[in-house]
Amino acid sequence: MLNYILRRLLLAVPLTLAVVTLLFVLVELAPGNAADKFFTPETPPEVRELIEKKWGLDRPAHERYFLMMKNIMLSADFGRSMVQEKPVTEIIAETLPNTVVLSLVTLLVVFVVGVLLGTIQAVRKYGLTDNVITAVSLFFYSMPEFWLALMLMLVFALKLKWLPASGMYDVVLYEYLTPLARIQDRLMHLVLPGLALGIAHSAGTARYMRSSLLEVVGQDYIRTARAKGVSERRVVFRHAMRNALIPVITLMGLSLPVMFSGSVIVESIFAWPGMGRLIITAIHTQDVPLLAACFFFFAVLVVLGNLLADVMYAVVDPRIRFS
Amino acid sequence: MLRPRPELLLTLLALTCFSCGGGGHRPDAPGGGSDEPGADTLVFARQSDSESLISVVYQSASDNDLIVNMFESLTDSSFDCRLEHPPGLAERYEHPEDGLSITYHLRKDAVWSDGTPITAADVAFTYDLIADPAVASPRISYTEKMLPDARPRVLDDHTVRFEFTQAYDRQTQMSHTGMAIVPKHALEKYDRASLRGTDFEKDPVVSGPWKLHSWEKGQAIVLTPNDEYFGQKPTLRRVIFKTVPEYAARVIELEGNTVDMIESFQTVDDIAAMKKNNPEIEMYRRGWRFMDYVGWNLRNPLFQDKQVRQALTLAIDRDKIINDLLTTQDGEKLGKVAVSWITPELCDYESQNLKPFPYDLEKAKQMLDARGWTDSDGDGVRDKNGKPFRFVLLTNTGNQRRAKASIIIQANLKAVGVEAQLQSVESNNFFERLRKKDYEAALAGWSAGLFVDPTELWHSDTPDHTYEFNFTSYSNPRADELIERGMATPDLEAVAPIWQELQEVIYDDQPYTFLYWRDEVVGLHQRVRDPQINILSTFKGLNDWWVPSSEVKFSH
Repeated sequence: MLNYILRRLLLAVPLTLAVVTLLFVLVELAPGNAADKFFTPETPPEVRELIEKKWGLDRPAHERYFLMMKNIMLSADFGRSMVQEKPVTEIIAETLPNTVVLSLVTLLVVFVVGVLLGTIQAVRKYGLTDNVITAVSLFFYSMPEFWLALMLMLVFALKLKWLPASGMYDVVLYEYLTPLARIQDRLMHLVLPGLALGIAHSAGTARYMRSSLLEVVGQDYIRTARAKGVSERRVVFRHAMRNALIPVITLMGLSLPVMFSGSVIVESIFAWPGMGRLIITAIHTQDVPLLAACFFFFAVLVVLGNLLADVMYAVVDPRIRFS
Repeated sequence: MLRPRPELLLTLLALTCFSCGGGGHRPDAPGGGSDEPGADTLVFARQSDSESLISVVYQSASDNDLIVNMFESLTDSSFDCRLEHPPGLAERYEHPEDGLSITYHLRKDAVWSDGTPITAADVAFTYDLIADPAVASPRISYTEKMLPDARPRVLDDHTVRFEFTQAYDRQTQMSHTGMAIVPKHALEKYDRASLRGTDFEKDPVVSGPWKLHSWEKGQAIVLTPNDEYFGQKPTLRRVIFKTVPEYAARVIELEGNTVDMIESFQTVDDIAAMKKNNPEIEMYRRGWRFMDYVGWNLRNPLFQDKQVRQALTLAIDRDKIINDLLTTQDGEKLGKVAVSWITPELCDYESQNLKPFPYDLEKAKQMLDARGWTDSDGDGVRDKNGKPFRFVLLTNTGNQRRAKASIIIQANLKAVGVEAQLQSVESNNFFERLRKKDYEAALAGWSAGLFVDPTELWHSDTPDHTYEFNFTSYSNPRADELIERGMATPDLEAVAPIWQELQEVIYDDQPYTFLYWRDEVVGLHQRVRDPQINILSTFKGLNDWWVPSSEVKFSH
């Protein structure tokens, strides 16, 4: 097992470096560079040259590439953001917690709602409940996040005024709140973005859960359990659920990188300063060091997520052994 | 000051740092009464967070909004037909007729927010940073005509003189010397090459009416009054700049009164909806700030004939575009047919001889016929020497107004037998193609500058310089001569006829079909009195904004 994990991690090294390389090539191929902002009729051309020099953009692409790779590989130094002129690790450290908090809420919504709905559907398969839930979850699954997020905001923030519309906290009141009220304020601000992200994903999870549970319910040991008189509730929750959750756990493992990368759309609409917004801004400004660090980080997460899914697989399912 | 405006880029008008202004477009103040000002909190929703609060390095309009309220300049600025410079940090100044120097006398009571006096050394330090290539200030060229060594001369603690190698436009000289001053004692310890990322920005020492209370990246910037400020102190308790990147969310927040102001409405329908759904929001117009045009690439044989370009303009119904896209339900026009790239707000330069070409299909057809463009093969598209009059009209994605305008233009041109194929590309790519002249025709735009410097836009290439912003490769010796003469004329009265003639020459040549000027509409809660919303900045002179105590929304 340990051997297997080590081998997988070792294989990840060239993969992550390849991701960073690909990113570099793509940004190089795109028109312009990070100094474009300084390219306006009233900014003299020498400013652009000075900025390019300051940010190292005056060197040929291959030189910049090898320098970047050398720093990453030898000293894990991702350098400074060109646009913000700050170490990229500092920027990511500021932003990542915001995304992680939101992702945890999302994951909670996805897991609880998804598993619950999927189970109900499997138990009531082909019945009215199943069909209605299928239709509703397909509706939400195919809804653009953008639309869903705005509708949530319109209904719950503007019309009903139950929840705050955007931001991570109330910008007006926050500094006057007691510590407890602050926590409550932050939680309230998590609800709408968490729902917007969670609803669509839980619709997908519900589909997985439903089919997985249906498959398990058809197995011999379930029939045996029923034959020996175990209650239906116990059959579903003790015997069937355990095995039916295996693919869902894989799904969770695979969604690890998604959790950390954030959502550009939902973060933008709810004014949530997370990784999604950071990356989209970095892409627009062609901030290579910041992008390289983000993508490196995500590549690592993809590898870890996959590995985690595999390991969890082995943990929850004793039939599976890696060698 | 002009800049390209593929609208995804954060390219709103970025002015040099001034503070305070006046003469905006303001409807009658609601309510009225002689109420006392109350200590309220105002929340402004903005598309993007600030990047830097340091006047010498900032580059975006969202930075300028804060800098004008936190840092004073030698002179203030206001706008009424032209930029004017009332006293600021300097209580008076001398600007002799010869245009070779300006001497500023600083007020002696001005101090930084930490109590340190503001002196000529701070002015010298500010300009030393601007002139230093290591800083790479976007405003480095402001200093290039300064003597000695691109820096001002400190005469004593409270007197500083800028000397120039030659006279140039007096307004521009005032602006070049009117940069927001930064504190020497607080900034000199930092590495000049990375001023943007320093700790100074976390707790800046300021000179203006507002100081930084807190800055949560990507969330909100909170300003509170600076008690050390020498001028009129704010009556508001706090102003909060909240970052809400998504336009639809900003509109929802304004409608729900969770924010008090948004900077611009994207469509006239949104304005109508806001008036209906939240009557507490007042609309303010900022003036003619944005101009859209169709640029004809003069390197393309299709567009090399001036008569043909004039015919194309005659065929494009600019009034219809304005009626369809820029007119509110009440009939208020937020668009105006353009004849120039110089904003009509700069009324000194408006030429009385310049009238827009009418919308005249018959005349357009006759002119095209006369230039040999006829539909000889009967396919509905004119042709000449076997070449059909067919081209790609390029624009940038993500701009609904331009997308709709291009459809109207396409239909207009079709009516005279000219086929425009529409294509839109991502903004960075669009801008790059304009610069490289890699297009046939393009629907693009400029934002208004308050100084006139037509060189980058209209001067023809010289052996040692390519004007990359002359997107159409326009070249007319008469225009070159007028540009050079105008740039060497410091006096407003003498330069006005030159710029007027230049606009007439260019309009006659029609390298662009100028479409429309567009006004920007700001939505602000009605309890706010005396906001100064004008072409200079949305947030100028925040210390004069006030809320009657009876209408205070958030009492502390």
